[in-house]
Amino acid sequence: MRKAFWMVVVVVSLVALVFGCAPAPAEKAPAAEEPTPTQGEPIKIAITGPMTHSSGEQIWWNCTIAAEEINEAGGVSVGGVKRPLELVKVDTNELTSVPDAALAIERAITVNKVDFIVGSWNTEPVLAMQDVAMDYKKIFITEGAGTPMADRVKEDYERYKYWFRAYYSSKEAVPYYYCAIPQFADLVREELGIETPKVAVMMDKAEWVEPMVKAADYFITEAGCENIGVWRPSTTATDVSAELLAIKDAGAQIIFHIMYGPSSMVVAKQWDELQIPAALVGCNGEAPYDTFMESTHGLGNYLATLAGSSEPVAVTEKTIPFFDKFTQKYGEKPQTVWCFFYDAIYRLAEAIERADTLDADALVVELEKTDYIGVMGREVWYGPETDDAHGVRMGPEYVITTGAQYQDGELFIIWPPADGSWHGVSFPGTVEAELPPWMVEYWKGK
Amino acid sequence: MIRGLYKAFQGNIMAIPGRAMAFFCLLLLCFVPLVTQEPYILLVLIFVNVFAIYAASWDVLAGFTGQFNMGQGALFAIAAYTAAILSRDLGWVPWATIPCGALVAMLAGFIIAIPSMRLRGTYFTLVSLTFPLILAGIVLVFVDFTGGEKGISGVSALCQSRVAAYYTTFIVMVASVLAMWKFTDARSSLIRTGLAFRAIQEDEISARCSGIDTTRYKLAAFGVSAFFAGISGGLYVHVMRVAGPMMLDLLWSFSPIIWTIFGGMGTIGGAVTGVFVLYPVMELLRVIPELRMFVYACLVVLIILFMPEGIVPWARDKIEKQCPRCKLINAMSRQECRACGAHLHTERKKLETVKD
Amino acid sequence: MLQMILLRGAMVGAVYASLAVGFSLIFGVARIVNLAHTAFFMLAAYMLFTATSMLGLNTFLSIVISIVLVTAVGVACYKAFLERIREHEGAVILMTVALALAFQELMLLLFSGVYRGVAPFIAGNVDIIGVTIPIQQLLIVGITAVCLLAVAAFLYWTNLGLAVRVTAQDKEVTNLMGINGNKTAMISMALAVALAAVAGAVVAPTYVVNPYMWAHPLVMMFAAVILGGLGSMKGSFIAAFILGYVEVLVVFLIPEGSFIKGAVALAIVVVILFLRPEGLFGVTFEEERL
Repeated sequence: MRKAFWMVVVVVSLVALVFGCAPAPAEKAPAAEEPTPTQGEPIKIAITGPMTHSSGEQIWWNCTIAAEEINEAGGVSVGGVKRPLELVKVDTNELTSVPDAALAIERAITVNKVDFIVGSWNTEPVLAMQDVAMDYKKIFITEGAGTPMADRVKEDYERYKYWFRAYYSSKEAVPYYYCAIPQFADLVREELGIETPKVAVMMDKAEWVEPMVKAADYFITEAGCENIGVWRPSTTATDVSAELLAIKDAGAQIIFHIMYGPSSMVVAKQWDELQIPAALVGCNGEAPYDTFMESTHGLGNYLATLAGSSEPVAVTEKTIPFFDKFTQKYGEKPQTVWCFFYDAIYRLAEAIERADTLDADALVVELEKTDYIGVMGREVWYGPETDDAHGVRMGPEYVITTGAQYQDGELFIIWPPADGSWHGVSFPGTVEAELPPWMVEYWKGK
Repeated sequence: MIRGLYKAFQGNIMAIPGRAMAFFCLLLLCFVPLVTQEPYILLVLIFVNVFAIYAASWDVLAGFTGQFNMGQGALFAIAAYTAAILSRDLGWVPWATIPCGALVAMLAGFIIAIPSMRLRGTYFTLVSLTFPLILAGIVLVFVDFTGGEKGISGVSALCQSRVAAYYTTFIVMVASVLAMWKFTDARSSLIRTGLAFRAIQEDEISARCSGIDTTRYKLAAFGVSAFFAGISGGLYVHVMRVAGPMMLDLLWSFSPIIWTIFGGMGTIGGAVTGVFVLYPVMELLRVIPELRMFVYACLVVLIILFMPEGIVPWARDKIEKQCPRCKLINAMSRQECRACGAHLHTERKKLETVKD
Repeated sequence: MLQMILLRGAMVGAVYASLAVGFSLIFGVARIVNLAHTAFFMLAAYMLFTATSMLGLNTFLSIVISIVLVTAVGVACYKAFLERIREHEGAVILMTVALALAFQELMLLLFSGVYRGVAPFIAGNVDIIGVTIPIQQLLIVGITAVCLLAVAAFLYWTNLGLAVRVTAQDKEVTNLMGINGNKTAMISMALAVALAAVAGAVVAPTYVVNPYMWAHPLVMMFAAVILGGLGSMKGSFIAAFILGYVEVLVVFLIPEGSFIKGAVALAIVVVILFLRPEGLFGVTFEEERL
């Protein structure tokens, strides 16, 4: 009986600990500082994502700043009443468990009674969550560059029309990912005199990467280069030195990589460690973070990456002020890939005001007409008949991605090139791309 | 006839406290939708029902033949993918896809089982860990067939309404658990397989000498385990409407193990109880998202430390007593056995130590 | 190409070997399937990170501290959680799984999921028969070799080691001979965790330190142990290298398929096991003798 007694004590203390540690049930965006006369019920938006993960954190921060700003300006006007935005933080745990994500959304909709859902990006859980949101006819704006969500909008518009992608799909982004190749190919030709640079392709085995893989041959030959092979390590690979050494063996001058997850950091470290004589360009998931150079202990210099670059360029006049505000408030730079959620909150608010109702069907019509200039560019959604239904459009007047490179341990913008050769678009602070010195040494010595 | 049923009910269920409690819990569950139609709560219970079948299927193999299958997720996933493909590509209804998925899983179970017979104890445990990983590799390679990383979406829903889905999963759960229980219960006079399993566990050589074909029984256990893992996989995929490679994660295979051992291995009821306790706890812990998994793990550690057999055996120990003479289970409160009249509480009291 | 495969395979194999031998040890002596083994590996990596990056201590000192602390944690866990329930097989498995998860979550809480890195002990590369090898990787092989030799020496040349070996062979008789079974189990646990900690500390600079890094090595370690044959440390050692080579071969021969190097290695293990159920060097345990 003594054992049972202690069991009870332990369990009770645990329970007390649990509830003692529990923060307020739903973290809400703080009300405006000055007492603004916002009457009307709050409009509830669920902000979803893997909140214990850095991506979830960034999503929450971006949305919070947007909501705060809107509330400070008085709120969103619906039916003649100004209503504040109230954000509900929903941890979907989507990186680990699909049922958890579906339950989280279901809870947000039925228990917290949210009006809209913004957030999340992991494809498999998003597909499950999409079904739940569509069941309840809730507007659901997510990220995640995979294609199936858009295909469903095209195939079954009436059911899936409530879903929008906060940014562009991987299909749409393909040409932008490959911009690095002609840029670096030119460098190789100039500095090393090699007419047809050899390109090795190294890409994550992940669904959203598939369109990139298929396009590899096309873009590589377009740039006057030779594709000498494709390597597909797993996203969780802890050692890609075998791949890198094989690539070195094959004589590549450019390694075009698209990698996220732990493997992206590994590739940068090992590329530098092994002094592989090829330029490492493409898209590296970990590189844009402030902690990157720290975590690699200085390795990975001269790595060129696209997308998610946290270096502020004045894409629009709103960009730099937003960056500064964010950095000041949270002590960390915003990752541009999540800033689309900041714009998404605004796009939603504007659509609500234009439609003057919270009715989802009417809002879908207004959202589709969106033409909003946000911090990431001019944001317009593709229509439902297109291949990229409800995805954001890319282009020189719309949204683009910038390319950056680590030089002297710091990240600098290198694309679009400073001379404006790409559709006349260029930003202040852009520098020239550089080849890693050990590579130049190696090839010059041959 | 009614009196006969009533007597059977009295004797078999009400007289044994453990079973009585289980019966009342099931009764309560029947009435849940009358108390609340909150879709969220019903969805949680739907998942609990599905996972109860999943956990019980693991128990059939582990608790009764001693083979710890650390890769039960692979069987679950095979059925889920089969059901998903049949539903999406051929448009079959769940009543067709789920049994098909379960049968395919059973087939896979046999394919794995036959060579596994040769592997002793821990070897099998460790090898089974590799099954989901190998399957994951296959899924990623045959992208056109399995949808690769994005999985298969657009699977038809189980039922049109949440309440209907709840009752469907509930009935399937009760039926499956009863079937598995009858299959493995050593006291059953209906099917003798349970007795055979008990005999094999106690002393395999003697069992073989008595004419029990141990290999056949082990294979049968594997098949049943795989079949019901498949049922739960099929149900799950129609509830989620998405089948994807996240089902082959390590944690997915560990979950039925955690639930079952927590509840009590070797008793189907333990597996079910484990799910009914732990899954809602996991949901409740949502209030502390950062600490959720940590508290969950700590909870499991503590409970296992004090109740290594699981909570069901521990609880049953407290409320039930086996008659020393006829081995029938009686309520702890009784003084005499209800069948043979022998005194139940006959242990000697500890002698007082004489202090000098 | 061939030299690259030879040397790289050895690197990968060395890591798996030090994990597998440790696991084999604790299983052989105490019959504990320690699913938290690689969690200790992860703990050591994190401790090294903390000591070097956050406390700024000297590398050598950090390594020693990490190994000692993690071993202490391992023994404490054994005493507090595992010793009481040693006899219940199922409970042990569940307990070690829960411990591994608890450690993972603890690391997540303390360090968040951001990928951490540890600086190599000695930076730079060497060229060996035309293959560029970072010095850190040579250190991995060197240090694990030394540790494994030390463990072998302990087991075969000391009385305590004799006790450990004997307990693994026949628990009942050992008890009759007056050797304290619990104490030997604790010592083996300490040794095993120490080996895992060494692996963790030494490998940390080449890995990406994150709270989920224990999952993949766990499976590969199991594969090595069963391929080599349960109860045979020599078997675990050799099998670990076989697995390492298979992984490297897959990457070299099928670059487009390098994401399934793990699955291929495991498939091979499964096939070999079905052909030879006791593993390559399997040992029959006393309680399994019929």
